[in-house]
Amino acid sequence: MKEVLISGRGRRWSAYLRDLYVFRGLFGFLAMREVQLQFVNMGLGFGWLLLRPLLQASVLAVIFGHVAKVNTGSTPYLLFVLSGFVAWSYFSGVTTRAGNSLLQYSGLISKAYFPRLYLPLMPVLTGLLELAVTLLTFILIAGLGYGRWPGVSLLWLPVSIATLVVFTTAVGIWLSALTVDYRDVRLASGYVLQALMFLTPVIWPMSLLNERLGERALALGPWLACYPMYGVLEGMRYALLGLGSPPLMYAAIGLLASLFLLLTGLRYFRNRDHMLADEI
Amino acid sequence: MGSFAIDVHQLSKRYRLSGSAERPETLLKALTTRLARLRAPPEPETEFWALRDLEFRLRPGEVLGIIGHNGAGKSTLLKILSRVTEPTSGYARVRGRMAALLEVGTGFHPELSGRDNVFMNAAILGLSRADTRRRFDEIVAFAGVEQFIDTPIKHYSSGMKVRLGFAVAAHLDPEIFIIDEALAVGDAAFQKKCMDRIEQVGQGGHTILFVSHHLQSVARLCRRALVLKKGRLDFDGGATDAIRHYTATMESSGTHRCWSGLDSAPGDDRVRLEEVSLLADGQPCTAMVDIRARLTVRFRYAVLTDSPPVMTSVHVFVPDGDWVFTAIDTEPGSAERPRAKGVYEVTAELPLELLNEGSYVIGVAAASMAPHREHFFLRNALSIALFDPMEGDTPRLRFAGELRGPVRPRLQWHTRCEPAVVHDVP
Repeated sequence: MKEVLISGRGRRWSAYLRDLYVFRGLFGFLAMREVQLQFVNMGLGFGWLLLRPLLQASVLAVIFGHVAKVNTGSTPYLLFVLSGFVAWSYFSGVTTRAGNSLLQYSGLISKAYFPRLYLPLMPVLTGLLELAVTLLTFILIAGLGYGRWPGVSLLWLPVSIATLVVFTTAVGIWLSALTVDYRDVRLASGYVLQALMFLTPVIWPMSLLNERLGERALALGPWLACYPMYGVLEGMRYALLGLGSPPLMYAAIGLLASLFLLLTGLRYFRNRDHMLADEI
Repeated sequence: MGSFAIDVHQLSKRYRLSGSAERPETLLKALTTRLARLRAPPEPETEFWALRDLEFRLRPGEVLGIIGHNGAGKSTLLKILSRVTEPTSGYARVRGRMAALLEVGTGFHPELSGRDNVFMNAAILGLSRADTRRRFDEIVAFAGVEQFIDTPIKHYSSGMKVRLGFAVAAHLDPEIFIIDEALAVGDAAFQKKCMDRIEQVGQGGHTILFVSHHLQSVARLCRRALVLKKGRLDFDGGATDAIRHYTATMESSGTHRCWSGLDSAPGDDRVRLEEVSLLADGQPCTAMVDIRARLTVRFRYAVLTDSPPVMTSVHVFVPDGDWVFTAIDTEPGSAERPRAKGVYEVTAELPLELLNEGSYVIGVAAASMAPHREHFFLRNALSIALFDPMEGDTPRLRFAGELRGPVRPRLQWHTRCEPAVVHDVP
């Protein structure tokens, strides 16, 4: 007969991970409900899903393309910004939702047992649906509007997306636990995300940075690559628009950095996990 | 000892009370205090054992009641067994499929239909989708919400929501069932239905751990009961003996009580009751009070850390446990005013000539709203007996018989005479 041991000495990793599998039905339910609620709340459904990143990208495209005149070579600036936003809106949307997830579900946490890790993981999964839609839309806009259908370089897309998802998951897990521990994290993360966007080549090309850095670019490269979004965005632009070459070094270092962040995040989350019901 | 369903061994749970050495609340503070800590050693923390060295064993098929005052550790035990929180030390072993019901309708979302919520709630309680589908019609019929099953539950009445939530729980079919009796809610008829269902489950050979305030239901459902007192096991034995033990050891209550140490005082890590007393015409009084006296409930509570607004309330019960009334603090502004750290004194004056002759139990409570959190709810804070000296100006005048009911207010009476309308009886 199945026996469950409830003790304070902390469960083993194997038991912790096994529960993630045992309760998978509930995870499916929660994720489905999340998607369902998005549609209920939006009314417009997919319309809003696309409108948000499109509007944001257009505004930035006008400001930086026409006013600041950022040079993106032969690629129309709007297309350039949109390709950046496909990845960035997944990252910022999912980390924001994951960050709030534990607080949002505090009622459930204090009344029932299930692997708490599900909560920050849910937006990662539901966000993929949005990502797929925005990607398709981008390909259609680029192809129909500008005649730029993706070529063989599209094969690089899975590499970029894998890094993006791992990195987003890692940041989401860290943020969710930190948000419970420290009340200012929720507020601060919004500002930090906004600032981070400008530090990320979403609306400006990497070539701009390389021009500025000149000789030092080569030496600084591996360090910049530790922030995985550099590799992700370069990769996206290569895959979708055929810009540049596959960023091998950036992708490799970025993926490693993401995995490191993910493992440390999991450890931190697990250590806080059993205290959640008492603190939330 | 051979088989068991639940084996609890030296189970303890410690909570840290907020003090100066509390975990920093913000990341900014955490970083700055870490720097400061390098110089000053950390101050000791105040701690509070919600559960201490609890030890019991439950055989398969046994129905065990757990009784105790608020703060005795009942809900902490429930939370540990349901794995919502982990014990500080000791362990519990649970053999068999267990369902823990701490709340009716956990996971209900107002925007989703009754149908979706049934599946969600069932999934949270550990029922598979196929099992839920098989029992779905039964669940809906038990709740009596057939016509509304595809309506978002935000349009449900609160009674309907509760019924639907309990209906899911009632059809779970686990081997071990952990229930907080506060769940049997709703109108009297539905409450009876809930209790009947729990009884039926218990007779079906299921192991039940049943936590309750209501002594009658423990006597009815359980053969064995535990009494918890301040986190420790106070009594373990037959249900009727446990109830006798519990009522005999009730803290002696009268018209004045105070708690010397914060540890023993009712409350949580934010708000603690320090003193509660009853005044008759502004003076301390004995347990026998003239029915004409102006009664005031006065209590003092300490706010341990700067807190959101605290809503206090006074509850008056007849001795068998039913409410006469509940009155919440309606002083203008009080419900919006955050409570800074400090001691607060509350007085609540009862209307004159409200209660009838007889015994009453007075309770006091404090809670925060949004999110709801009960700081303390001391049901038997004070007990008094009102008597009527029959001196002529009392609300019973010269009538010596029994005036029934828990209240005996003085109404505005008028009798008018219209002589012309009356026809003589032939």
